[in-house]
Amino acid sequence: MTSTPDDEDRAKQEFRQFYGANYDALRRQISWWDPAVDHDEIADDAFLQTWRRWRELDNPRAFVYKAARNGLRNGRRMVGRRASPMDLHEGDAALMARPSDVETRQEFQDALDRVERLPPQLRLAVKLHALGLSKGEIATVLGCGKKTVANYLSEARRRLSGPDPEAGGGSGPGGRQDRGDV
Amino acid sequence: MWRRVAHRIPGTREYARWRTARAALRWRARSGPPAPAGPEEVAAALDRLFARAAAAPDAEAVRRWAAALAAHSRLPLTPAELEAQLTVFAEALARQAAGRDPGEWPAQRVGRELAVRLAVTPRSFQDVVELIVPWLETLGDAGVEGRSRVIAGLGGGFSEGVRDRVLGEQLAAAVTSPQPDRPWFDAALDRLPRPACALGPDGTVVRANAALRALLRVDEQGGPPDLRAHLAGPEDRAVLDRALRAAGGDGVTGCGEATVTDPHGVPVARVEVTALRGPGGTCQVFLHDVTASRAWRQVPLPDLDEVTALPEQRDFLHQVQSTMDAAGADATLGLCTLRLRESDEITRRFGPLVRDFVAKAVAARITAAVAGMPATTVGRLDRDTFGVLITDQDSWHGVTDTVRRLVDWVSEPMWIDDSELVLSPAAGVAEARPGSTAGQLLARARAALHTGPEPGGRWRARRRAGVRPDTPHLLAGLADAIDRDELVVAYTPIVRLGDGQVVGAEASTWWQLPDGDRRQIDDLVSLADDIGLTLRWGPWILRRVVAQAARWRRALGEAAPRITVNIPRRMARDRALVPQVETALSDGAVAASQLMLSMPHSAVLQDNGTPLDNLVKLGGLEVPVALEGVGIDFARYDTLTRLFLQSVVIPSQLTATLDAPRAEASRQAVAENLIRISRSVSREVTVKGVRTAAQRETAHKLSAALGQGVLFGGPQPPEDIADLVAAGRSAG
Repeated sequence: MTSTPDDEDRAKQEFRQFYGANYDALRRQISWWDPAVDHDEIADDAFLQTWRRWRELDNPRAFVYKAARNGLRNGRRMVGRRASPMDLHEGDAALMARPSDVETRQEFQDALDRVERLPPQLRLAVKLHALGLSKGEIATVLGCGKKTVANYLSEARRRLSGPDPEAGGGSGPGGRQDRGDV
Repeated sequence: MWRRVAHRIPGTREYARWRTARAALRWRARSGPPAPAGPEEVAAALDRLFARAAAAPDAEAVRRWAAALAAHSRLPLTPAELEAQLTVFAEALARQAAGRDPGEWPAQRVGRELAVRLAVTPRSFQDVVELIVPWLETLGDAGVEGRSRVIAGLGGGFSEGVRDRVLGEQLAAAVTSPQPDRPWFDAALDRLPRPACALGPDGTVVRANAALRALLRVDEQGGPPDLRAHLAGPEDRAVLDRALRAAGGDGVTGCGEATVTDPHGVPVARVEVTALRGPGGTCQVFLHDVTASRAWRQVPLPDLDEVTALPEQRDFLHQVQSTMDAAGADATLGLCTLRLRESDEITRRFGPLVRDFVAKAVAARITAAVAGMPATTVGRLDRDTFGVLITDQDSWHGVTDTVRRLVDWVSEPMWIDDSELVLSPAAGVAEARPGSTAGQLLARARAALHTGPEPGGRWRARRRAGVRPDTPHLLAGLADAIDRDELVVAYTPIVRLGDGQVVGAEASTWWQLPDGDRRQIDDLVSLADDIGLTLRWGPWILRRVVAQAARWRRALGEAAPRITVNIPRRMARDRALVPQVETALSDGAVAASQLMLSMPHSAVLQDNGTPLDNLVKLGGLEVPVALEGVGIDFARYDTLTRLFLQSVVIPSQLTATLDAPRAEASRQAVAENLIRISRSVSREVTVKGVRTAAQRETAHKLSAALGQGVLFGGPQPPEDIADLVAAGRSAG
């Protein structure tokens, strides 16, 4: 069925709203997944693919994250286009708004380090959930069922709330001594 | 049970940790690189996006391209397939013209595909390019350079593809015609500038041209290389298998890209593999080097676990799937998961470093347990769980036996400092069913972890006096250690007793173990030799020391030390020894006098006391031979005069008596007389194990020529030996 110019304009207007609501978040998520890649290009390609299939998609937000994830796999070994005088991780960290107090900043960093040590699927599910994606959307991105996503999030929560194995008996998040008496 | 719910109960530490983690995640999700500043930039970005979408060839444009191609060419695709393929090509060309990654289809490959697989005529190609060029002009984000690159790539790829297709047709005609012209075919293959080889009906390479040998870095004069052994991994071998399966007798079929390596396993090129089938099951394989066109896009590296260097779950599953796809219908495949239930507790009790050590040790044991078994894959699925794919050509029984062995080996005690640790892993195993995927197989194996019987006993750690070597596991892993380049050679200086000048060096082999230790393995090599375990250590050590001898020769000239290699008994009696020595010396362009082989008496004497053939042949090559064990396990002194010996080696047990107190004069007399006897039947005597200046002085007085021992220096890198030689001194 061919679309009329009015249909085309309406679709573009919807897409503009979708783009405005999600572009920035997607770029941040991509740079969180891998600071080394060109997140702008991957995000642009993901949105292009989403626009091409706009009329067919039930959940465009899930689709654009999935497209970005696929694009990341293809581009993950490519160095980002922008030259940076800093180490990529430092540069990325420098762009983040910092919590005001040192103690909170350290707790956050420790917690994020623990997130990075999660198994890949749990890590991805947790990051997408932090961004606000629903379990169904996360399931679309990961290519699994909603129940599996629920299990991933539950397991991640259990691991992140347990004592930090890397701390080796020292202070865990919150500054309290972990006596290991769990 | 408590842990599962604790994080939901306010006031608990778990709840606090989860709240912190959640806050950190939300904070991080809001952070990141700044977005485009204002609405104008967003609008501009959207306009560019819509322009890109519009510039992609619409269905009508693709139909015109397809019509142009079909007008003067007979194509092997249906119209729908052709349009789908052209759409993919167009998207890739648009990306390349805009300076982006074209993915699987750079312009050069598109040109080749048109020429080779679609077999379009030059007229059709010209017609379609006349449509593509104006279309490229419509791409808003494509610059002049990008468009030029695309057009040049299309043209270059097409002409290359046509040349290869014509040659392929001629080669096919040469072998498939009623009167096959084999000499013409062989000559054409040899002259071909592209790497190519001919395979026999059994799949082995029967002829390889010079371009292929150069690509694989193999010797021009040697036999045909084993192409399969030069493919980097299972995925690459699967590409070759698919090409061979798909090859038709009437044309050339391209089936994807693979990475090829040199004889040491170092990747040397990325190639496109095409195959042509001839009569009688023969095949010709052509490789097209695409490394340059892929140079800016690195070949994805497998995700390897940092601690154990095993593939992580994603790549493990990929390898498992490749193995399942390639397995024959009769093969039995089982996937075993092994979980270390005690990982958290070990970490809490001993710390993360010990936990990593345990993981590395377990990984080494699992790898050793399946070493040498065909089509096995080992991976680390998560911090506590390992996966092993096991293939048995005969039955499920073989798989279950292997799983039992895995559990037994992992459960063997391991030593951390002076503590003994015994693990109690959980195991789950699932058999691959027809039609199932690797992911499904792994899910069932993981489920079996929780449904299987609890392993008997709990893990334990206890203090233990002394350390017992993990010999069986090291022995099993030794073969792979050679392949993984984990072995190094160290050299112990041998000095001239008269002036202390370093004139020789004894080679010893050391293994850099996964747990960080470095271990001398000459005893393991001897043990392997004794029990008849076949290792490739012999040719390996000969090549290494000959190469080192050549380097010393270049650096030190006439002062270059001679290298002594200790040859174990079976290897010394093996018929392959002399050809191996000859090959090593020839390849290294080293004089025989720069090498000395040190052997026990059982390796140089037959039972009737006559010299073994190898000793005679080595004499013919003028390779010096030293006799070991004199005085401790050598009894046939009557035969000494019949042996062609450069040197007799006095063992350290006897050298230790050379400075014995006067009360032990008899012990000293034995050593002294043996040195005298040895001096009379050989050109030189070497005393090993010299620890004191008194031993050195006594040995020198007895006319022993050379000495070795801690007094002069222990095993060290070759550079240090060169320094000693250059400085004209020994370490002692």
